[in-house]
Formats: sequence, structure tokens, C-alpha cells
Amino acid sequence: MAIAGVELDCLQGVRVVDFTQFEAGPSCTEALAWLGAEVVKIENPGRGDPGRRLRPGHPDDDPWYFHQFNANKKSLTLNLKSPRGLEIVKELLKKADITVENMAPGTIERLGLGYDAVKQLNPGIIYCQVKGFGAGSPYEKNLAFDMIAQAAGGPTSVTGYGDRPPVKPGPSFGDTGTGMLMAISILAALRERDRTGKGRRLQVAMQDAMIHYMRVPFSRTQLSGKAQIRGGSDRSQPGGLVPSALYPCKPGGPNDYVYVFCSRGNADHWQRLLKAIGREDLSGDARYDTQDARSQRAAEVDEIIAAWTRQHTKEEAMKLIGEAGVPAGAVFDTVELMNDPSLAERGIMQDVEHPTTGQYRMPAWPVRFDGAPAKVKPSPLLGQHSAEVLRQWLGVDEKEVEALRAEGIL
Amino acid sequence: MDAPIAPPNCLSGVKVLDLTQFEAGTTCTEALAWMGADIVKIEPPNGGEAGRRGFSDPYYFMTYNANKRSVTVNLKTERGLALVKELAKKADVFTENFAPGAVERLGLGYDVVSALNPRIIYAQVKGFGDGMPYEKGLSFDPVAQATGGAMSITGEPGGRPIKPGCTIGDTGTGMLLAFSIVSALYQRNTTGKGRRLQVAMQDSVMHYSRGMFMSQARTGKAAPRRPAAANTPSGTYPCKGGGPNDYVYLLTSRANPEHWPRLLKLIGREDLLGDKRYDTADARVQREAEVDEIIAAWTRRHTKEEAMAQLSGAGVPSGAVFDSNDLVNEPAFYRRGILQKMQHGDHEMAMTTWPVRFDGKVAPVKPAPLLGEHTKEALGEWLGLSAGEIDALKRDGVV
Repeated sequence: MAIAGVELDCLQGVRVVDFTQFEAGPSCTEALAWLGAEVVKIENPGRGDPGRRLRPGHPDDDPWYFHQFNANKKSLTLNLKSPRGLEIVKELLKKADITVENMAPGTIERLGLGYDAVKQLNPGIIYCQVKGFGAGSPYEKNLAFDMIAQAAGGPTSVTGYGDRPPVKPGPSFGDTGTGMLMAISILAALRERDRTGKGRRLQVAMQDAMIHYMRVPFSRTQLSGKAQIRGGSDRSQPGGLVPSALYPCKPGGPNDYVYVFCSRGNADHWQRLLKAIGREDLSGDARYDTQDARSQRAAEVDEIIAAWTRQHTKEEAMKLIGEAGVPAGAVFDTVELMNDPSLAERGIMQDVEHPTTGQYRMPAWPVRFDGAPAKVKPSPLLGQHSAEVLRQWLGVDEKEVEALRAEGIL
Repeated sequence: MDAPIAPPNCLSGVKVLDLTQFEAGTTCTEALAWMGADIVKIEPPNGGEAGRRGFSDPYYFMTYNANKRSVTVNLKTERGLALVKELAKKADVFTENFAPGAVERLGLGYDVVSALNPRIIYAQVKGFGDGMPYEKGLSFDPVAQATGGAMSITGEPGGRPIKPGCTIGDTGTGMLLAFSIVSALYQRNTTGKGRRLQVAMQDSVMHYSRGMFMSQARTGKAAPRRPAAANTPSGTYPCKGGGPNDYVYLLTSRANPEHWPRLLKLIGREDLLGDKRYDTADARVQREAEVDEIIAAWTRRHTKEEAMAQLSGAGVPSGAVFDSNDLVNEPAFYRRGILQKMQHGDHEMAMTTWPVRFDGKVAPVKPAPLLGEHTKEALGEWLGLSAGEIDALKRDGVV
């Protein structure tokens, strides 16, 4: 039976004024929302977060992107360029525990909501900023998106084949990866504030965050003094860890591969692998018996394994090798993951009902609390919670909300 | 000017009993250490944690175990196990990422530890979630990246899948668990109760790859390695020097129609301003190869650093493809304290710190502990054992 998500109320009562857009900031505040914080997304009354409209050919409607990064939040529309709009947001900031922004460098200050101004209003607030590059970096004024961070922070340089142009990794950890580092820091600061009463200013740069996710290539560079060069994944690297590669599977489709890996930390993996692929005849063979010996014969070792994997689908290969106690992973694509019944049963994938999109399926916060994942609620319609938040936080009544709407402030 | 370094201390007083190894678990506790928690890493006396030697690479261990304390305990002895249980009673957080079933076989499963200490946050990393068809499967970073979808969306169009070179399967998972631990600690302030946290590396990789699901939702098909015709220009362009990393990534965002005219002016192609063939994002997508060549003709005449400086100066998002050597030699990282020099035994290494700044300052990196370096100190502080008692335990092979 499917585990439905539960309301994780760890952060119940924590209020977040959220100025973020696209993904780096929204993934951070969404994580806070999943764990129970009340996240109020401040959006421009006209068009809202630009992440609402990134679909090619449909400039005004991209529900998919927006849903992914804005589940469980509230939306409040506010014209920050009107004096009254700015005044209202300042009142909200006085009531907030946390505020997060990831606008282009200098923008939040131009709006009159820079750190000094907000700290004066609320000395207990955790004030958080995500930028592409850090203050003091030669590129601190530069614009950044996920791909830019992955290029300038190193991940692109270590992905692809050494003799071909680099490849951008597909996952958007330039954005979400940065958002997660900020989210952890926010909670640490919040815990401290509950004891000291004092807020903090938190700043993270996407370029710096990328280095955090590629510290293995960094540690290799320390050892060799050279840039770590990408090695592809279609063969084990001679002189490196062998076997460690993607091996081709039946029936040869674009994602019909299985990753097989024998750890340096456990000499048994190789013996188990030989048994799983029916090559016990090679057990004890000095040509392959140690990691050092195999690293001299990478191509031969790869062919021994591929000769077996080609006869199996990736699912069979993963099951047979994995059950033998050897690390193995099939290359699953999005359709396979989306339709994997066990991911849905475990609540890692949840179906959400959205008032305009209808039902859609999306991944939830992947950490389980006492066995259950957080419940995903649909991303808000633009301005859906304007009246509710103004009433609950500031005591603004219905009539005043109507007046603000009429003046184009909400 | 000195780099702006100061300990955040936000988690001071938080005690973490750390049984993690390699990277997925150790990055989690290292993040907590950087923010001020006291991490006591339990290691077998003989050789220590597998990551100390598994990669014949001292830098690997140093990278993921900075700012922690090391205590050696032989968990296979009765007294060693009893000692760790005493430590668990004093701890706020317990972390492990052993192979499936191993922590239970050691006698330190959730039921045992939470009975000893109902306030403890008990946190586990596994390769696959329980309930998955491969829940007993061993996992390392590449296995998580294969099964979590990351490899299916990385590579050249039409080519084979490629593993992203960074370790999101490991470090990415560690970050999600760290965030959840601090949330549970926060909640414990009001409830007084601990929680059990479980994360699977496969599930975590999906969390960092959610863009692929929106591509699928739009098309109904598996997200491709490179979204064909999603946005033009968007990609790596070749630069002067011609080395393996002499490329610059640039894009014009669909959300900002100004990027394209800015780019044309910069590369001296004002003649194309207003040209219908290229004027909108949708038009450019139809002529991707032409657009790419227009841009490459310019980038080839510049180094990646020049290209990035000029593109960015013109307001076009761009990033040179920096490699690990470019980065480790960038003086601005040291000035800002993001990279710090660390001394560990005979080795000096440049190492990154927690990249989030607190009030303008970053956390100091303290070297990863030598094996058992803090056995005396930590057992003294947490359990009040005397030097004499600890020496006796050492003689008996318990610590």
C-alpha cells in the first residue's frame, strides 16, 4: 500500500518571506515548506515568478517547472515598486523569521530591501541571499543560471570524454544543490536565534556551492597537481578503478546500460562479480585478482563483463549483480522512474491535484521522517493567498484587500 | 587582508555520534561540524574508517572529515559496544551509512538506540529505500547516479549516457540528510522527542534532477540527454587555446529577450539586430547550427576568461569551463576564505569550507582527525572516563 505523505511539522510556526525565483532560491524555500514552515512567496502582480512561464512556445504558461520548485508554498502578489506595496512587505518582514532572495546582484538593495534596511526592521531575522558569484569574486556582478554555475564551478570540466568538448551534467544541482546548502544553514541559524534572539546574514554563491559537490576531483588535483580530466563512463580508466563503468545491456536502447563497480574498500566485490557472471574460472587468476592487476588490463576486464551484460536487460543485470553483493545500477530514465510502482508506493513520487493543471506526479522531499515522507501540496496560483496572508499576519481586512487590489498594489 | 573566517557556532552544544564512512554520510556530519556541532567519529582501532585507505588517497579522507573528532572503538567487543551505547545516551544525533542490515547486526539498530535515548535523532543513508525491489543492493555514487536518472540526462545528443563528474549521489544525499537533521533538532526543542530519518541515494539524485521530470511532463517521453531545441543559444562554445577545457558556456534566457540583442552587439553582429530569422527564442531554435556558428566565430578569437568577462560585462549570462586546477589556483577563493590551506600530518592541502557565509564570514577548516586522535578527550568529556580507565581499555583492545 502506498505511504501517503504526512504533514511534517518540524518547522511549524516558522514564517518565511520568500522573494526567490527560478530554482536556486525556490528549491531552498520549498524544502523549508515541506518540513512545515509557512512560506509566503512574494510575486509581481502582473506575471509573477518568471519560473511560471519558461515553456518553449508558451511564454505565459509553464506549469511543470513552477510546480516542481514551489509546492507547499503560498503566493502573495505585491507591487514592490509602489510605496504602499513596499510598506506592506516591510510589515511582513517584521513578522518573519526568515527571508530569502536570489535576484540579480544589486536588485534587492535597489528595491530598498537590502540587508541593512531589513535588519533595522527586524534584528532577529535570518536574511539569506543566493548569488551566482560571491562578493569579492572577480565575477561578483555576473548573472548566473544553473549551467553557468556548473561551468564556472568545475562540474562541466569533469563530465564527458577527455578528447571531446565538456558536457554539462543533466541534473540542475547548480540550482538545487545551492538551495540545499542555504536551507541547512538557515536552520542552523534559526536554532541559534531561538537562544540568542539575534538574526544572521547568510550568503551563498552558486559557483562556490558547485565546488562543494565536486570535492573528489579536487582531492585528485591535490594529489596530482593537475586538472582532473573527464573520463567518460563507457570504459574503466586504465590505471584507475577497474571495473567501474557503464556496460551495454539488451536490447541496446539509448539508456540500456548498467553501472558496475568494484570498490577498492572491499576485495570481495570482484570474487562475487565473477560468480554472478559465471566466470568462476577466473577466480584466483593473477591477471585479474587484485585491483592493481585489473587496472593494468582495464579493456580486458570490461570485455569480460560486457560479454555477460549484453545478454541481459539492465533490470536483470542490476538484480543479478546487485543481489550477489556487488554495487550495480541500471541507467533509469524519467519514464521508468515516473512509472516505478515502488517509488510511488513509498511516497517518494506523489500525485498532486492542481486546480488548473489537474493531476500530476512529482518527487517529494526524499528524506523520510519516522518512516513517512512529507506530503506534497500543489504550487500556488498567482496571488492565491494574498488575502489570507495579509489577514493572518497583519490583520488587514477584506475591504482593505479589495482597495489594494483596485489600486494595483496586490 | 585576512580572509573572513569565523566559526558560525550555530550548532554548538549539539553532540553527534558518527558511524559514517566514505562520502554520503561523512559529508552530512562534516556540514554539521562546520556549523558548530561536536562530531565524534567512531572508527575501528585497526585501520579506521574504510575511506582512510579505500582510495589509497589521504586527500579523500581529509576532504570529508574536517572539523571532526576521531575515537577508536572496537564494536565487535562487548565492552566496546557497551561504550558506544553509553555515548548514544549522551548524543543528540546518531548517523550511519553502512551496507543494509549491518548496523542492526552490530546491535545498534533504531529500536535499540531509540530505547536507550528517546530524544536521539537517528539518521540513516542507504543506497535504495526500503520497499524498493533492490533495497538490499550496495550503492556507491555512480550507482545512485545511474538509478536516480542523472546519467540518462547527461551526455551528447545521440551518444551514450555519461556519469556527471561530481558526486551528487554522495554529497547530494548527505546535504538532504543534514537539512533534515537540523529540522528534527529544531522540532525537538518543543517536543523533546527524537525522530528516525532515512534517506536513499537513488531518491536523492532524483531531487537534484527534477528538471527532467518537467521535460517528461511536457512531452510524455523520457527526458533526453540534452533537451533538443529547448533554447538557443545555450551551450559550450570553443575558445582560444583549444585545450580540453577551453570553452565558455553562454545562454540567452527565454525569460529575458534583451540577452540576444546584447550578445549581437558584443560580438559585432549588429547587422542581425531585428533579423526575423533569429529575433525570437522560437526562431533561433529552428536555426540552432547557424546561431551556434555565429557565436563560435567570435568565441574562438578569445580565451575563456576574456569571453566570460566580456559576455558578462554586456549582461549575457556566461561561465568559463573552469577545471579543478583553475579553481584551486584562483586567488579570490583564498581571499574570500572559500578555499583554505589545511595541514594534516605531513600533508598540506587546499580545501573548501562550507560555502555559505554567516554574517560575511565562512567557517574555519580544521584538519580531519588522525585515527583515534580524540579517544581520550572525547570519552573524558562525554562519559567522564579517567585517563587510567581509558588506558586500560586501550590495553584490552577495546578502544
